[in-house]
Amino acid sequence: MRTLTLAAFLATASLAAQAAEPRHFTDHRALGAEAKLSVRNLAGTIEVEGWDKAEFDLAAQLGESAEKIEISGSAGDLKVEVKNRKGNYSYSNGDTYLKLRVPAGVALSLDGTSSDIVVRGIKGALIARSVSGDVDLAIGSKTITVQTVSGDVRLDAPAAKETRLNTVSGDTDVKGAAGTLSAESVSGDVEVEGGTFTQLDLKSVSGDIGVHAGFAAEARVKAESLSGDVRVNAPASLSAEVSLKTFSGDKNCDFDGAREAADSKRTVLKIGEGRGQFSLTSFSGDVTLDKQ
Amino acid sequence: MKQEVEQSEGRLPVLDALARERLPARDLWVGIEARISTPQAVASRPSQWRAYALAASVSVAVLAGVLLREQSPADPRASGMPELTVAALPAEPSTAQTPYSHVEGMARSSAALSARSLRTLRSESLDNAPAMVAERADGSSGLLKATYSAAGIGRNSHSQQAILRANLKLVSQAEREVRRALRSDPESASLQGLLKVAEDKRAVLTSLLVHEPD
Repeated sequence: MRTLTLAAFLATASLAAQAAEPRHFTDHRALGAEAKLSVRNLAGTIEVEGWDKAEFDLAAQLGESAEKIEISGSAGDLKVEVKNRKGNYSYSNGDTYLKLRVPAGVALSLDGTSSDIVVRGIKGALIARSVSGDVDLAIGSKTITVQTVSGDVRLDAPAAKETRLNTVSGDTDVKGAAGTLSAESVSGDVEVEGGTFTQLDLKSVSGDIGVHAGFAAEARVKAESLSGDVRVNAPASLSAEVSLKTFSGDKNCDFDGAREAADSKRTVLKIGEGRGQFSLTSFSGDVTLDKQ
Repeated sequence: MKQEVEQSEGRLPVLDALARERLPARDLWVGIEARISTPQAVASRPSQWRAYALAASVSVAVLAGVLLREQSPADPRASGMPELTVAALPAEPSTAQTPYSHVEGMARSSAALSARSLRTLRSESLDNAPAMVAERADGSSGLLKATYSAAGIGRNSHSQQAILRANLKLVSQAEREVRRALRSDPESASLQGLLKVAEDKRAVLTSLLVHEPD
């Protein structure tokens, strides 16, 4: 009897050990230097790194929920998708980790529901979407689109010319971008520390908005919040017509300029030649334009 | 009466003549004192409770007043307050009291409440989303669709549903706050833009949730 019990115990332990052992998956193939690549992973991490080879390299560790990794398409348009098991199961470790190395020039489309997305060294256009995963990008792309629900967005993109960032409750933190940038959030904070912008359109219903950047001569800057504070830190050489508006907050401006209009809610100033257009608005938060 | 006194006084020598050894064996004063003092203590309690009740009533009344004041709409017209017009306000904000100071103060406190409640809701909503990112176990085969306009993120993603619902609640609250602010400043393009942001996000979240089974 004891022998039988011991045998059953060892068999069970062996099976459990096999089940808990992580499953690995690798793939290596040719991929065009400016190919399209889309990656989907429900839960875990999507990590992409650009390199100077026209090759695709994938190393994955599959979570218990993952059935397989499906790779389809061609060297010009490749798709990677983590296929999950069907059924209402719960797993102690359902996360699948994907680490991809791809040509720096590929155009990336990354979808994760609760996956974190991390991208480094990519120069092609990038679209990243996640519900609760964070998105962390340090890239050389010119066109960037990021959408999350509660995930935070961190973007370091010195070459960015057209950037669109969208969250519901996630915070947005941008460094080094330039050109055109729009960022929307409901309750997330939006922080922008950038190069030289030609157009900024920042909205957050209840989050704070902060900008520390340079601006092109005829830059159009709009930063709006309902209850958050809006603060723009601009170069002393700023030339713009500036509107500061708040219903119940405070208005602050470091710059001397000709006052073109003023009442309790709105102040319009012409700073320098007034070439740019700045509109900083908060319903109940403070609105500040200060010098760098 | 005078006679009674005299009679009483006349008895005193008789009383004094009584034997001292007839005194009670125990000190009766302790019991007497207890009986005298107890009713006084009982009598004092109702007055203390009355004081507590009065203090509590005043506190409740003050709290209710504060809450009602804070919850009143930013638009003073809606609360029957004098209409606040831009022209009526001083050119620059001033600390000096004006006839509209209390209205401004009310609008500020209302707006501040909005900000506070929205921020609180943000953290509470997400705090209440069970498991959230840490518990990402999910057996579904569905993935976030190619665009947010596509519906459904997959089956059995309870933590994701909780996150989506928490965010939907947040967005609905934000929408209400913007609409309330719009009553004070109906022409504000900024507020209209923020309302559109909230409406768009609500549509996105609803579309993501619409095919999610409970």
